[in-house]
Amino acid sequence: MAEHELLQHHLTLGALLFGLGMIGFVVRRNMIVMFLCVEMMLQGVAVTLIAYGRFHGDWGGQVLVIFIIAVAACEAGIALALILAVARTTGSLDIADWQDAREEGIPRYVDQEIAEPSGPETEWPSLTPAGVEPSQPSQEHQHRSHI
Amino acid sequence: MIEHIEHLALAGGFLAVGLWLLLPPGRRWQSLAGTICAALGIGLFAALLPGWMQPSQGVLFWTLAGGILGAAIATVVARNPIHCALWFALTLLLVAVVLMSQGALFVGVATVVVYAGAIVVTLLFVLMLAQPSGSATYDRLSWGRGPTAIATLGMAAVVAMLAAGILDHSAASAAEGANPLGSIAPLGAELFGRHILSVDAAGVLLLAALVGALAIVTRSQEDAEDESEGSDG
Repeated sequence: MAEHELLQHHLTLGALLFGLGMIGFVVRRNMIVMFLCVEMMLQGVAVTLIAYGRFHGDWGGQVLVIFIIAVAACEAGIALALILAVARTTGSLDIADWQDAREEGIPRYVDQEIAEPSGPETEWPSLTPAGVEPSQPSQEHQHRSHI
Repeated sequence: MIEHIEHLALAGGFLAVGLWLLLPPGRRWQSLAGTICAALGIGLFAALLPGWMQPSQGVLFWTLAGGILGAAIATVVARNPIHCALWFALTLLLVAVVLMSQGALFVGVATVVVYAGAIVVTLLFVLMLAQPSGSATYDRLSWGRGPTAIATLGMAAVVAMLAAGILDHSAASAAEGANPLGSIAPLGAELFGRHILSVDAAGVLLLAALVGALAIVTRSQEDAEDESEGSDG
């Protein structure tokens, strides 16, 4: 029947969203992109819950999604505060800097060494600087003029 | 088609005006207005397709699902994390439309307001604060081919299992009654009647998360100040 087919379609959509979020969380190295993929997983779960709620005529699906939104907001606040605090120590948003965080006394075990990009293939020649040095705008290091 | 003659005339009129504005030579405002008119015309034409406006048909759902999947893939794949955040905002808007088409009006609006309006905006603020200018190394690389392959194959296996399980299901649990869940007052009655304790607990959780985030931020600032003072002194 049409209702059942529609439910199947929505469940597939929710599963695909969840799976894509899972892939992104495992594969990406930027902490904020990993957090975005977690939120995408939550969206997949929300689609599934709403589909089941409509299929069974139960309000519980929508109620649970409202609670999920509230919990996701709390998680977003704490996760972003933690990411900022952590990024301030290392200076980058890379999760690979923290991959050998461990307790005391446990030997170092790293899943995979950080894949460094290869250097430039050709060394370009450089000229000796000549002429008057242009005056630097004094506010350049206090505000970013570009993203 | 004869009863839709006004609809057709409106759609054709918009498309014609849009096309006329878009043809060269044209200034910038003309190309912008032309794009809007042409999009309106195409949208009005598409609304004439059978099954587009009824949620029980699949056309609207499949269009939205295709858009959601494209935006989700772009979120995961984009190199610049700001592009990731913007694609995720688009995913959220389309998911909100899907939720609303299932009768969850309040949840759809809450998704847009809380997720796209608050969480993604806060994320963008954090990105502006912490992201180095230019693209960083860790944005252009992922964890390598091994983990990527394992994750992709694992996800494909899980989704295939889910799809097979869903399609084999022989309609045992039929819908008892399709209650129209479009109204919000019964949702409020259910939320604040049956789940009142959970609502209170969610409020306490929000307060605790607020206090915790403040504690984390002020503690990290104190640590940074102590380090700089210790190195100077």
